[in-house]
Amino acid sequence: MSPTIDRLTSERFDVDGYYELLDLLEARGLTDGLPVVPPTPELVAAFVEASGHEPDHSVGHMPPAMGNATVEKIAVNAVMAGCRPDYMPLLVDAVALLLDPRFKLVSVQTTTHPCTPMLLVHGPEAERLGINSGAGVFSPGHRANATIGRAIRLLLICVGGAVPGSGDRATQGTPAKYTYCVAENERESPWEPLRVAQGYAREDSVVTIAALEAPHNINDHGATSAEEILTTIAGAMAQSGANDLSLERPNPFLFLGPEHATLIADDGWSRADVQEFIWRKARVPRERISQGKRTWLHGVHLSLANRVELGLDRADAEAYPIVARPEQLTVVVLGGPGMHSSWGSSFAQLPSLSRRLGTPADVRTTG
Amino acid sequence: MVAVATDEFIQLARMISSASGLRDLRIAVIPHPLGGLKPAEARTRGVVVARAVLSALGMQEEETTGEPDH
Repeated sequence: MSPTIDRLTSERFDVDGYYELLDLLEARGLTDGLPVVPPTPELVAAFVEASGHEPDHSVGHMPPAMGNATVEKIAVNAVMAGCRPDYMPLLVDAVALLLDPRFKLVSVQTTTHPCTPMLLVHGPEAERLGINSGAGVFSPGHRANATIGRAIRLLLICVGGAVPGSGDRATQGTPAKYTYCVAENERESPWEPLRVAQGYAREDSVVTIAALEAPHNINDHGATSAEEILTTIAGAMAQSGANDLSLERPNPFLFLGPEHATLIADDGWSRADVQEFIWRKARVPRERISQGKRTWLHGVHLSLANRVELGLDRADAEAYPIVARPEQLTVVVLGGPGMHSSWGSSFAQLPSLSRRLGTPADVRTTG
Repeated sequence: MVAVATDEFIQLARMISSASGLRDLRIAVIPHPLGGLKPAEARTRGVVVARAVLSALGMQEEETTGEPDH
């Protein structure tokens, strides 16, 4: 028997059967609504050992309930989610990033907005763990994507107290709260890997988190140039209801499909050119936003240093941008064949964060 | 110090204050919602909020309804 088992401190229950366990978890609000793998002491101990940490190592306290996110608790939820033990180091680092004060997890957890932490894993570790970056990247069918994202959600509920209707106050929420974990399609990206653009080394593995809505599809099968496809993309991103319009801390993500990305790059456009174009063109015309919301936006925009440059110095501006600066948009290539891309509108109250897996963490922010 | 929460969010406010070590934080509870109020409703609600805050501070009896004083 593993010596780690005797060091586990989580409450233990004797149950008569599997369905009694599910009923017990549901009664205690420790569920995402789906069946779980029973977190037996043997499995939890094996996951703790795979993490490389002691079971009582605390990564931090998770709001709003401020439960102690120990490695043991991470292991319990990883087991329940159906993870493999070798996902544990990534999960521990991802939880540490979620609890970085700059991410303001309490706001992400409790807001009425339907955002949820999106995990983007990039670099060699993403491939080693089998995180899908290709066809159907946001779809079911890949254990790593499904269970790593689910483990994060179970932790947010079971340790953080984000129970819908009490600790999680989303008005409608989003199915992305079940799981939201993807990898960059580095092989089919025409540009340098995102982590290299962020300043990390090519051999590094990096996890990025951002408080995003579920991806919104962008279909353009007819465009034949960078400017054409980006015109459609900018038009799709210019949404009257997007939180990004506040420009407080917008950090939306543009998830370019490989075919769209190649079309853009073949015209000689860089990632920075895409960011610049979207910043300039993804603007919502005044008449598509209510007077009341424009008044509210104007108050928020008064704090913007570049509001004159953006044309937002008047209460009735002509158009309202999705990002205040080009670099607030993250552009990454994901997915498989087909002329589709998508974008993730952001909560826009806090930056997205990236960190190198392992140590030193080297945390960097966007937005 | 007084926090303000609408009646829809008072449970969450108490969870956060308690988990943050502020079990005795005074919370002024006001009616939900705040968004979407018409200007006249907003003025009336402002009075309700002010009275709820004063009440939480122990400075005035709480009144849950009221007309603006202007």
